[in-house]
Amino acid sequence: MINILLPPIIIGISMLTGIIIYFINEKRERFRTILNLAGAFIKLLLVLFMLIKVLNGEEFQTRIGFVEGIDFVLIADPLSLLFLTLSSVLWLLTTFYAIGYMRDAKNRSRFFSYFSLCVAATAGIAMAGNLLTFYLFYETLTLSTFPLVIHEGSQKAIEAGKTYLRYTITGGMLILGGTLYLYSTAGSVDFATNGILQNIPLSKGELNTIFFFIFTGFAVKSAIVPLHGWLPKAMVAPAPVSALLHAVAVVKAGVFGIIRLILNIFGYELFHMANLSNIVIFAASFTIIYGSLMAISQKNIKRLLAYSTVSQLSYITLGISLVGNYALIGGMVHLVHQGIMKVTLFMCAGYFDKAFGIKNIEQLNCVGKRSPLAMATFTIAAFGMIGLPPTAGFITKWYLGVGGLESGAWYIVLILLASSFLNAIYFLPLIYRGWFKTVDETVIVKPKVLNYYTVLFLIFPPFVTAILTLLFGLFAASSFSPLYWATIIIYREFGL
Amino acid sequence: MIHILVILIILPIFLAAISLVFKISPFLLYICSMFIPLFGVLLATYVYFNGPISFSIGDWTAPLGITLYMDGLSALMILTLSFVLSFLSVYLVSYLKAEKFDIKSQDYIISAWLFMWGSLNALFLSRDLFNLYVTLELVGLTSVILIAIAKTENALRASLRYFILAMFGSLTYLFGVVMVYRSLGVLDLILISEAVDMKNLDFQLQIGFFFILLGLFIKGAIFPFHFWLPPAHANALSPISALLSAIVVKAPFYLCVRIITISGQNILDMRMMLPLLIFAICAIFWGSFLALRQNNLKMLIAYSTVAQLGYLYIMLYFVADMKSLDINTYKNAFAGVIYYCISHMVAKAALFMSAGNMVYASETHRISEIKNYKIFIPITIFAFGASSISIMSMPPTGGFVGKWMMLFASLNSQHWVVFFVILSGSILSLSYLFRAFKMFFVESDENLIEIRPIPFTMELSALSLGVIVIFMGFLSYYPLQLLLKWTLF
Repeated sequence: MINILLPPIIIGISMLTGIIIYFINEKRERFRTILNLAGAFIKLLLVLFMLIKVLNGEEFQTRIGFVEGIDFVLIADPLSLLFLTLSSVLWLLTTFYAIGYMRDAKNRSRFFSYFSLCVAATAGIAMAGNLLTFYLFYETLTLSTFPLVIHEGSQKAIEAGKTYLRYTITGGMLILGGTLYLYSTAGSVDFATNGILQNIPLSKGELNTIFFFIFTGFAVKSAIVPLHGWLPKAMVAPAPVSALLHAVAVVKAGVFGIIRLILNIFGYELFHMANLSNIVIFAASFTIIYGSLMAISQKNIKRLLAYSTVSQLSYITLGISLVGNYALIGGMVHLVHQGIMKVTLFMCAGYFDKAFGIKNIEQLNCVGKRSPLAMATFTIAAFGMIGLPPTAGFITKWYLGVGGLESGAWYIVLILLASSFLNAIYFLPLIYRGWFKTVDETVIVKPKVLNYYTVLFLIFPPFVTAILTLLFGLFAASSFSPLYWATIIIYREFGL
Repeated sequence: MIHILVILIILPIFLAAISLVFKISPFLLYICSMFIPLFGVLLATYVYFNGPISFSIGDWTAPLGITLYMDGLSALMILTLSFVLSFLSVYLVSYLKAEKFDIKSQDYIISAWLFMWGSLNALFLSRDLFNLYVTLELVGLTSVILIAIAKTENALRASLRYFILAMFGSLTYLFGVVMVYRSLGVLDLILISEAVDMKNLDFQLQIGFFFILLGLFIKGAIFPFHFWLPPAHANALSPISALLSAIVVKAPFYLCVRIITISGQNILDMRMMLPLLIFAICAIFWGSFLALRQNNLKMLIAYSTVAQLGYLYIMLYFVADMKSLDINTYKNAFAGVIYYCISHMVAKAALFMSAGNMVYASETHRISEIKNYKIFIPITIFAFGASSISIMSMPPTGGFVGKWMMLFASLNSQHWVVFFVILSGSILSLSYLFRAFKMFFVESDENLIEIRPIPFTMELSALSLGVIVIFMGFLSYYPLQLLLKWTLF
């Protein structure tokens, strides 16, 4: 019984929280805060419960009739749980952060309501058992993130929201078209362990069409160049939105879709035999370099981080599309690692904005003296992005590099090294400014006096994620690390 | 149980008459709102388990008597219609009270409303061509009254224009019916289907069907006969706009579906139907394009109706090619377009109700002035959002389910034009709906506008339909089964 009910309950908790919060009066802050945190916490407990069960080999499946021939299916396989756990943990932390950040903002009930709905949609994406269910939650995610992007209500925010919708709904159309075509040629859209298309003979043209449509559709949210245009623009959203959505929910949903497409629809073998990997590798590599290059020229911190996200996400795509265990594990584990590192960076950037009015790089001078803890977490996460040991970022790069060599694609190592180098070029100056440069009198910085509790809410979450970055790097070999889980996914699901 | 069919028609009309005499019309309307959905559910469940039911009035059967008939399609239509009208009625009463209409006007409006309700029920339950003509006329005339009741110059002009066009459409329809009768000698739909199967379609019969459909197209506001719709729907009172856009304009479409699916072979040569495809596509693009250019919120939504009707008629064209479709594709197409139709009924009603709320609150029709409210109205905004999502046919609403099935059918039979037009529909609807709902999020430094507080009943009815359309996205299984199991193919 539990095995049938638990997936919908996990989604339902966030949805219920969202719906209730929507109607709460703006003034009843304490009630809303308690509800918010309680919802996030309960959800996390349920997810951990599910995690332990799946570790022991139990199966979860919920199936409801939907349209003619396709059911609405929720499952909990190890891959689902990777994404689900990541999003639940980070949701709790980001809610904490958002409560502090949005303390003086308007329309908070609306904000937190949509925030919860987003996470419900993300949970649905994680646990989707076929492409149609996936698409349902995917579009719901688009629709619930939209009000968050334009929350500020300024002209710029609305423009950003318009661009965001244009890109994502067009992407959604492509996915829908591809899914329909898949259903009509293959007769099924389920996610099967070895890929449903392995056993269904389709012509080269059909395979290419299916892949092209669905991959391009997912590529929009995965911010693969040239479909990444919405992401830097969406930085006009409040910092918690940028942190959660653009490190965890939206972009990860896109990449998760690509993983499902390659591994569970096409299947690992078919994907490589049909020579579909070439275009993915090319697109991913191009995005990695392009994103980093664009990041170098940015003056606004959040935009710089946005381009860094564009670049880093494609590590995941790159890893998945190479041959060999190491690359797969590396790509998959970066889903988690990039999430926690990026969240840290965005949360610190948001804190700097809130506390000192820092929006651009040049205002970062000497921040380290004023908030050493925040700057330290920023530094750790930045080192992770560059790929220095002992952070989690290093583990990813190592696995990807070894995987590249293993599959005979030696150029991967070059791309990784180049990317690390470029990352260093734009991150190290920030770190240097924060710790070592003295305050520049010509640059305006407006320190604000913040409530002690606000500061706590703003600094504690990135502190936690920074510690996790170190732990996941140092103790990568233990059975509690994402690396271990990624290895389990690859070994268990694909019998490799 | 079967007698409930008659009650569905008699009750509203009887209450309509009473409300002209006694001054208790809101109470009478509430009675209808409570019982008719209940009857609708009872009947739908009965049909689901037992099959189509029919009732001959006075035991006079076809071809001379009036027979009421409910199969899967009728049951689904009546079910949706009942719930939508029920919430709309509650909205109407609250609206009339809020806008301070005097008792006499209230009685007139509610009486006409009830009469319309009875006529609509009769339309969906009728089974022969002449009866359908009568009910179509009743619905049309009542619509004219309801539009004109707004008493503004624009409303009167719009109602007159609609009246003339509706008359023209009805006469065309009648001419078609005469030709069919001349050819076949029967008017009952089921008898006609048997006769058409047996007989070859001669020219006279085809002309008959052509004119019937033409008349229905004129009444159904398909391009290029759409120009009466936007002024009529925009200038009417808000509850009436909702009624017209959501339900009344679907009645001719329903008849088209009945006529086209009357037999297993194509009733018209597909080359004669090709203009329908072209006009439907034009309706979609023209409607969306004009909706983008509107400053008046209700005009924007009315043009949205024009565009959405285009989708329905595109699939009508698709379904008309009955000979060349295999049964699975046909089922998907049919179920898809009907489900899209009923989702649109719910969504459009919710949309007009929430728009009506906003127009009431800020006392202006202009989109650019509907922002910066002093009082926060989350319920109305949510209702507007949910219904917009269904109109964009995005998950998780009923509109998506309909769209999926329509796309699947067109993909399977490789009608690429139909496929791509419907697929890109979301983006088109998004563009004009965005103009409206971005206003809710605008925070500028201008002063907050004082607005009239919206009565809770008005907000709640809009919200209820908004929630229902979301549920339709998930609970589509039973309605679809009802439709597919018990409609004649």
